[in-house]
Parts: sequence; C-alpha cells; structure tokens
Amino acid sequence: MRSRKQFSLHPTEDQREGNRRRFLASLGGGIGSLALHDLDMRQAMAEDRRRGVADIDPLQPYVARKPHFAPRAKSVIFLFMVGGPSQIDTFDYKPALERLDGKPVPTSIRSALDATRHSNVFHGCEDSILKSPFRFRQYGESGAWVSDLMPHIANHVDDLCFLHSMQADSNNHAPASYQLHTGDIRAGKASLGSWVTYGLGTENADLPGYVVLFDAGPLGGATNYTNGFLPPAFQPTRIRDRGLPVLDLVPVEAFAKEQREALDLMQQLNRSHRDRHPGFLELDARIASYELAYRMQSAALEVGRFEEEPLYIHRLYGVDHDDPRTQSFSRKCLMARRLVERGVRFVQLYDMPDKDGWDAHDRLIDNHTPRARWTDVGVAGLIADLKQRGLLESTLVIWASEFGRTPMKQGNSGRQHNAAGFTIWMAGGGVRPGMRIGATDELGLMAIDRPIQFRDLHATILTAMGIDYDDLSYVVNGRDERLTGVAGSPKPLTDILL
Amino acid sequence: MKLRPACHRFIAYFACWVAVGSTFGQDPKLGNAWQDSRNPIRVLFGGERLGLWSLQPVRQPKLPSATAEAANPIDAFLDAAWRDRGFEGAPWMNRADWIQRVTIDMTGLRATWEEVQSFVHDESPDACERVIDRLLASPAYGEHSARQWLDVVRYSDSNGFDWDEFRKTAWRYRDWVVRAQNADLPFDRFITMQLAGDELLEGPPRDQQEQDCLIATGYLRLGPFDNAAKLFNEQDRARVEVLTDLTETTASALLGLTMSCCRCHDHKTDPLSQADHYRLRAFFAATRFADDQSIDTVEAQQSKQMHNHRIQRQIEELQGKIEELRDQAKSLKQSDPLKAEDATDDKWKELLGGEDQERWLQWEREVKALQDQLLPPDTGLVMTDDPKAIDPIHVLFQGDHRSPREAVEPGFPSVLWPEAPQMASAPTGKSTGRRLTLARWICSADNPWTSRVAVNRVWQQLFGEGLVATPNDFGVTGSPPMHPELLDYLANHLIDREWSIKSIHRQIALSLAYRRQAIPEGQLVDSSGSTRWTSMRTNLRRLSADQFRDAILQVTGLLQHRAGGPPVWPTLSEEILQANPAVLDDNETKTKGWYPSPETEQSVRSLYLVNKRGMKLPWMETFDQPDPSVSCPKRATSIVASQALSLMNGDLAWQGALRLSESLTERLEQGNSTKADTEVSENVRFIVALFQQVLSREPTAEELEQCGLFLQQRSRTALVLVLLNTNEFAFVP
Repeated sequence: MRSRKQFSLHPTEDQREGNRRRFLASLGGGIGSLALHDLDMRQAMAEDRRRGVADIDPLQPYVARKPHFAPRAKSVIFLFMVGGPSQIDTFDYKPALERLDGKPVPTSIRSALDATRHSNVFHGCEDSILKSPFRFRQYGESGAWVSDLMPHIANHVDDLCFLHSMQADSNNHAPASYQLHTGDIRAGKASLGSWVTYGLGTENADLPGYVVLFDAGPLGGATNYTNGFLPPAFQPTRIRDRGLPVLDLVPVEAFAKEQREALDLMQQLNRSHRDRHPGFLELDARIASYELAYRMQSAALEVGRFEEEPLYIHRLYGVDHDDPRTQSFSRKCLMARRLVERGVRFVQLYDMPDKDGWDAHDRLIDNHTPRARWTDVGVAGLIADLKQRGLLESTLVIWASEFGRTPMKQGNSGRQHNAAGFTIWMAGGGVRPGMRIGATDELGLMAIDRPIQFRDLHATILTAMGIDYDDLSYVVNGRDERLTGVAGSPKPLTDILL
Repeated sequence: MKLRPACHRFIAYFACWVAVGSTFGQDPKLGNAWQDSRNPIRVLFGGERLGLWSLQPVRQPKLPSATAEAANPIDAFLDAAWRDRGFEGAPWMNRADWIQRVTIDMTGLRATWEEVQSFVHDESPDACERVIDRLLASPAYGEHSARQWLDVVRYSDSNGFDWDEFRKTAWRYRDWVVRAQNADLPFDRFITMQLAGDELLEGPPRDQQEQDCLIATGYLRLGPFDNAAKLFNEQDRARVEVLTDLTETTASALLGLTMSCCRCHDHKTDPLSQADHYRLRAFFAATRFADDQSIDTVEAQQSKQMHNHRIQRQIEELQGKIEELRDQAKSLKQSDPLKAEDATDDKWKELLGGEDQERWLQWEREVKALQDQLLPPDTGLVMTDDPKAIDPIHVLFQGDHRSPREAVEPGFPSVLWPEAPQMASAPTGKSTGRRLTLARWICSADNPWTSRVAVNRVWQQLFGEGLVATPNDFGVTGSPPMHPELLDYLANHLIDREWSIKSIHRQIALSLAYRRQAIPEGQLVDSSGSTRWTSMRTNLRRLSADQFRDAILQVTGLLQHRAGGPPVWPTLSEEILQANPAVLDDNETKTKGWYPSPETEQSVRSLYLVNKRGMKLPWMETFDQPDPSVSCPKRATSIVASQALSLMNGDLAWQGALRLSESLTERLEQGNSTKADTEVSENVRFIVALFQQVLSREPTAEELEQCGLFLQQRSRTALVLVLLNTNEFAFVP
C-alpha cells in the first residue's frame, strides 16, 4: 500500500470552489433548486430562475441572503391560535345571527355551501344557528367591529389588516394546520419558517434563524413546524420563555468551568485531523459549528433576560398579569420581540396552554373567554411595542388559525370547525394598516367575496419578504416543490401590501 | 359520483385509447412505445422522451479488459472510465481506516481497537474478505441494513395527524426486515412479500416464513393515516391519501419512478402519463386494513386453543361453584324475594356472609386471574384485500378526489406495457391477486428499474452516494448514472445471484475502489501537478443520528443488546412531551400517551427507539433524522451549532463520558500499577486507553502531549467528552 504521506495534496482555488459547491449540494441545494450531481447543467438551468439570490454558504447556512427584490418585511412573527377560534365571535361581526338565533340555516346559504367542497362543515353540527354571546363594538378610525373578547387588540385595529374570507382544504385540525404551515394537507412538507430561512438566512449568526415558542405545540405535532424535505439546517429551534432558553444550552455544572479549555483541546485535535484530510469542507464546517455554539450559549442566555426590560414593558405585555396563563403567553410575545429585535428571521408562536386550544365544540363561552383573556393583552402589547420601537415596519405579524367555527350550534352551545370561511389578520411588515378584504355570507359561514386560500396567504407573506414565491423551490424526487404548491396558481394579495 | 367533461388533454389521450380499440379492433395488442406508433405514450409526447436511460433494458455489458490489479469487475469498469478521462484512482487508505469504514458502512457500529489490531496485523491475502464475511454474518449487519430500508419505506410507529396513535404492532415489520436482511432473503422475495405476502398463502400461516408473509404486508400500512378524518366526513380523502401514498412510495422506492409528478397532470419530463399514476394505483384498490386479523401460525393457534380451552374449563368450574352459592343465597331469600334491581351478586354475597362470602370472593379473584391467562391471537400491522369492495379508480382532475374523470384498470407504465396485465390469482380466492400481479411484474427480469434501483441503494450505503445520485428518481430530472455499464453489470449480478443483496455488498466492499481514500470533488492534484486523483468516495460522511448515538453508547460501554420486540421509549421531560398535545390526552387503549421504558433498558440501538410522527426525539431530530411521512432515499446531513450543544452539554454524551472515564480508571487501577507510577504516567496510560477505546487507535506523540497538559488541569471525564466530540469520531473515514 502506498502511504498517503508521500503526497501532499493541495487543492487549487478552483477545486476549493468546486468543493464548496459539492458540499453545498450535499446540503440539498441553494435557493431555487440547485442540483447537486450534474451540477453544471442544472446550474445553467437554475441560473435563469434564481434571479441573483445568493447560494447557501455551507459553512454558514444561516448567513443573511439577498432577497429577490426589495423586501417590505425583514422578520415574521406568526401568532398561531391553535384549534380554530370563532370568527363570528371575534372579528367577523354578523348582526343577522341575532335575528336568526335558533333557526335553521337559510336554504339559499345552505345550498350555496352544499355546492362546494366545503359541504362537510355541516357534518356533526345541528341545523340551528347560535348567535354570538359576545357584544361587538366599533373601534378606531377604520371603524372595525371587534367583540368584547379582544378589548386590547381592539385598540389597535387601525394597525391591522383583516382577511375575512380565508378557506382551508380540510375541516379537521391536523390536515388544515399542516396546510397553513406547509401548503399541503398531507404530512411531510416544509413549513413556512423553514422556507423563509432557507430563502433568506437570518440576520444574527449567534441565534437560530427560525424559532418556535409554545407551552404545548399545535394539533398534529411537530409535523407542522418541521423543515420537512428542506435541508435539516432549516429546522426550527424551540426557545423557552422560562429557565434555559434552549435545550442543552449550558454544560452540566461539573463541566462548566472546563468547557472553554475542552473546546480548545477539541479544536486542536480537529485541526490536526483536518490537516490529514485536506479539502473537506465538512470538517471546517463542524469546527465552525462549535465556535458558533459557544457564542450561542451567551447570546441565547442574553435573549432570555427579561429582567432587563422596564416595568412598563412588563405591564404592556401582561407579563405581570394575575393569571399565570396570561403571563405565560405574554412572555412569549415579549420573547418574540426580543428575538426579532436581535435579527431572528422567523418566530412561530403558539397559544396552546393545554391540549384543547380554541376547539369549542361545546360551551363556546367557557372555552373562548379564558383563551381570549390569556392572549389578548400579549398580542396587543406586542403590536404596540413593535410600533413604538419602529420595528413594526419591518416585522410582519400574522394572527391566524387553521380554520374558524360554524354559526351553527354543536353540542351544548358550542360550534363545529369551519374551513369554509374565517378571519385572520396581519400587521406591519409592509401590510396596509386599517384595511379589510374579503367577506363571508351574512352568517359568517362561507367566504363569498374574494375567497382566499392558504397558498394566496403564503404568496403574500413571501412577497412581503422580498421573495418571488415561484422561484423559491426545492427539488424533491424530481419535482420542484414550492410552498405555494405545484398545482394551482396562488394569487398574492398585492393590494394589501404597501 | 359525478363525472365532469374531460379536459382537452384528456380527450386527446383517451381518444387514442378508444381509437386503438376500434380502428385496430382486429389487432388490439399494443406494443411498447419504441415499436408501436399507437402506444399512448408515444402519441401523447409525439414520440419524444423515449431515450430515457432507465427505460432501456438492462444490458449485459462487456467487461473492460481487466488488469491484474483490477480483478474485481467493479474496478475494471471504474479504472477504464478513469483512464479515459485522465484520472488516476486516489491513494489507498490505510488498513485501520479501511476496517473502520467497512465496519461502520455495513453494521452502523465502529470497529473496536482489537478488531483493528487483528486486521492490521493479518498479512494473509484473504484478510479483507474474512472481515467482510464476518461483518455480513453479524446481526448488526441486518440492523443497519434494515435502517436504510426503513427510511425508504417511511417506517414509523404511529399514525400521524391529530392523535398520532401508537401502532402497537408495527415493530413486527421492523423485526422482519432485520431478519430478512440477516438471512439474505432474496430481494425479489423480499419485495413480493411486502406487496402481496397475504396473497401467497393458502390459509393461516403454517410456519414462521408464512407468518412473515403477513407481517411483511406492513409495508402497505406504514404510511401516515388520518384516523380522525371520519369525524368530519372526510374518510374519502383519508382513503385517497392512503392510495396516493402507496402509489408514490411503491413507484419511488422500488422503481425509481416519480409518480407523484403525474398525479395531477401528465409527467412534465418523463414518459409517464397521468393515467399511469392511476393505473398503478388500481393495484391497491381492494386493500383493507387487517390489523385485527390473527397472524398466528396454525400450530400457535392450536396450542393457544388448547391452552385457552383448559383455562376456560377451569373458569367454568369456578363459575359453577359460584352459581351454587348464588342459588344457596337465593334460597335464603325465597320467602321474601328481592326486587329485580336489587338482586345483584353483591347483595347475594352480603346475604351469605361469613365463609361463604369469602369463598365467593376468592373464586371471583381466581376467575379474574384465569381470564388474564387467556391468550389472544397475535395481530400485526397488516393489509389484505376485500375483493367485494374494490374502490373504483378514476383519473382525478388535478389530483383532487372530488373531481373524478375516466375510470382506469390496473396497468403498468404504458410506455413499456400498454396492455392490461393478466391477473394472478391468489390461492385462497379471498383476494383479488392485484398486488401479486404487481409484485411479479416488479420482480420480473425484464423490468428495467427494480434491479438497478436495488443495487444502487447498496452502492449508496457503501460509498455514500449512489451511482445514480437520486436513488428514488431514475427519470429525466434525476441524475444520470455515473457509470451506466457498471450499474447494469451489478443489476445483472444481483439477478444472477438469485437476488442476493449480501452478494452485492460483498462484491462492492471487496473492490479496490472501496479501499481508496475519499477525495473531495473527485479530483485533486499531487504536488507536481501532474496526477489528477479521483475516488468514488467524495465526501466524509458525518455519522447519522442513529449511528452517532449508537457509537457513543458502544464506545462508552453503555450499549445494550436487544433482540427486537416492541419499541423502546426514552424518558422525555414533560416539557418536551407537550410538543404534541395528543400526548397529553392519554387514552384507555394506551395509544396516545408517552410510555417510557424502564431507564435501565433504554440504551439500545437507535433502530429500536420508538419513532412517532408527531413527536421527535430531541437527539434524533437534532442530528437530522428524516421525517417518516414520505420515503427518504438518502439522509440529509446538516452541521449546525445545536448539534455541538447537544454533544457538549446533552445527557447522552455526558453520561457516556462519566461512565467511560470511571470504567477506564477502574481498569487501569486493576492493572499492574506499581508505586513507581507517577500521576503523569497514569494519565498517559489513561489517554492511550481512551484513544484505543474511542478512536480505535493510539494517540500520536503530539496528541499525547496535548491531552496530558489538559489532564494536569482538568478532569478525565472532560477529556472523554472531548474525544466524543472530535471530527475523527464524527465522520466515517
């Protein structure tokens, strides 16, 4: 056997470049479907479509990348209300319900719905209308109607843009929730946060680019916020609002004082190992990852230092609220602001305090009243705080759920799921404030004016981020996967963007 | 079902079918697209797309003239190709690296210091061969090869979706895959059993092989399933999703065809029509879950029957005695009978009181105990057919199950097999034979995809990248094969060796190509600039999530052997469990909660850890375990800071480091330490032993010095942790 010592293997610059590309390829591609194997041919093909978005640097997959065009928003905070809050009891005021309380759904509305793919929303509920038990009032210059469930958010309606005509493709939690996160009702696709960090990287190398915050996760579990088929570098990191922000963030106590020296020794050993294996960028990448981890320890600890915040900020968010569940959600809202302030790209925040969420099949009042109390003040505080810091302009805030609820009654004064028409809202990040688009019928049952699909919402979010939604793709089993789907054309809501 | 007018494209396509039936009524037999201008794919794509390499029959390539060095045909092909392009094979790796590489690639575990030593000093000419044969015969080979396959067939222990219910018997399929790999079950048999094992049997299974035929159909059940859909009248959607998943997974896992691309429209690049997707789907149209059905062998059934009969008799005997007491009690109350609702056993017992009551209670306890001894039939996660309920399969407009178009019958890709196949008949007549028909076609020697796809997966397991770099996509958008003749040679070899996968492993591992150093990007020049090196191994692969965890357990002495069985549930904190609210909603049948195994039984190979779709294990997730919702042909690898945090601060590495520093220290103390041993030389001995144990080599002088300095200040445990974190430990050579 010839010994490798007889040869000195010095890669040329060209080879280093090739090498970098190969490793990049091993990560799975750059923005816009960069192929790995027959790189040259594919690159030529991809070049046209990628429109100047930089490749992903394998040594720093999170480094900020140039968007396709000037972005309106730099970061996203996605407030996910798990389980389907009722639109007709919060933001979609329907005075007709008062008059029709206890009556069957008018034939015209019923047959209009029956003719659509949403006819199954009648399944499992009574043909009897249940009026909203909550009082609605008008707020702000825009005069938006908001129920008494959300008195704090109501004060900010002039900053919000309501989308009253959302539709989902399934009337069940997990599939609809997967669709809102990933664009597909089936499991296995990549979530919005993964897509956005894949496309743009992040602004702070010492913190994860895609963060999830929750007490309990969404219905359907981790499949919702997963990186799916995207490179694992774009998986989310769960950050906690109490205790250590990140799992395994700090060494066990016995090792704490030894860590820096241990790292130094490890890197010494790694460097001599690398000298024996020149040209392999994966070795450099791993060496770099330890230095980043070391920096991340202090950066992540720092982001969790809520005591730095003045008392009025604590009050604004409701961090000092009497109800521990309000406190808990408020802390997450405050954490979200601290994260985007430090350049984190995407924060996905769930309001799930327990196993049920807003899923009020029974006793709507008992379900919705506390949930509104737990979340209203924190969300309102977040909007106000982002605004006063000038961060709202560059931060897109989305308040949404997988679907809404029926005006028909279910069980003991509850409501069934409703994927046929429901309300979400957006704020900041280049979205026109004080605006409302789309409408449901007079019952709030089905979207009849300008129905909006999740893919339209996704296209809008990506557009706000400066990403051409059609160009953000990734090859999976021979197919260009996109957040906005491979079939059907999304219609971005360009009129709500500034 | 409402049928809407077909879209324009459709009319063209089906018009061609109709035309064939009518105009060519005399000679309706359609040929493949190369020969027959009437072939629908030829018509549809105007005769284009037929040059796709994987469509061509597997050839018997001529071996390039072999040199003495390249006696293995693999090397003959590679050397010839490299020569032509002016490359030279990369330098040989050293023997220690080679045995480490082959051991990890074949078993997923590391070669120990002793194994490395014995090989390095073995000068016999067949030393490599003996290592390979030893590895192929080790049970760890089956475990590791099974892991590759389980990724491809999206194995998981749960349903996914809202409730993510635990599948209590999925493990039987996992164990069967391990058994099959270890027994080198012929690959055609391996596939046939998964697609149609139930259709091979004449009745209840007579032995374990026949029982395995039922268990293997777990393949058909492994996909995600939305069990809650029926509550929202969406069971049709859930059913269609099962069929879609089966069609797409079968096509990509076994054939390298991207049928997902032609679910909604004709394929964009490959010679596949939308109808081809649904023709393939129709083979699964009669499938029904059979999770309640007994999978017991005849023998087991009989012995359970006898056992249960015996128990039943004892129960009846006791119940007779209880009946007597009841009568006795009733007679006490004859004069003043109780009201019907008061005449309960509790009342009678009370009435009897004393010893009789005691005896009654005792007998009841005995009955309960006996009932617990009754043996229920074994069940599995299995599939069968219901020939009376065959779903009509329609082409779905844009893939939407609410928009059915033309009905289709089962059929293979029309480009090569446009005619309807002759259906196999299942021995029992209780099945349609559709899946058996599909299996036989997939395993037929003239199927151009199956054997190529199979050998390519083995190549990938050993070289990190397949000859076709896209193992699930042998189409136009996939990668073309790097060495097409070599691929065909191996595909033939597989069939010639009666589909023995181990023979392919052996052939590849024995090649000289497998002994060459990895070279980045396939080309480096030596210092004179004249030689351009190349190697089939172009990257250093980081250990996968499974391998990394297993390696840490192995070198620290924590690894526990487990011979299959139900999955092991690691202990997870409440906080982590909350990631899926379903877990918080435990149920009576114990399928929704989290059920940690005893702490002392958790250090098993990662293959045996529970893998739920809605609840990722933190370590596995951090180290890039793929989402088990869809077929994963190749694990992606990320190198990110959270992995460093996990390895520096996490429980696994820390517990391992503690354990190993203690056990090594103990071992050294038991050794022949004399008073003359200074602390320094004790440390030296520790460092040497540690390098042997973790990296299977001795430290260099420089390393010895660096580590020695470290130990003057810091703990041995910290040093172990350092070694577990090194790149050398993390990458396959």
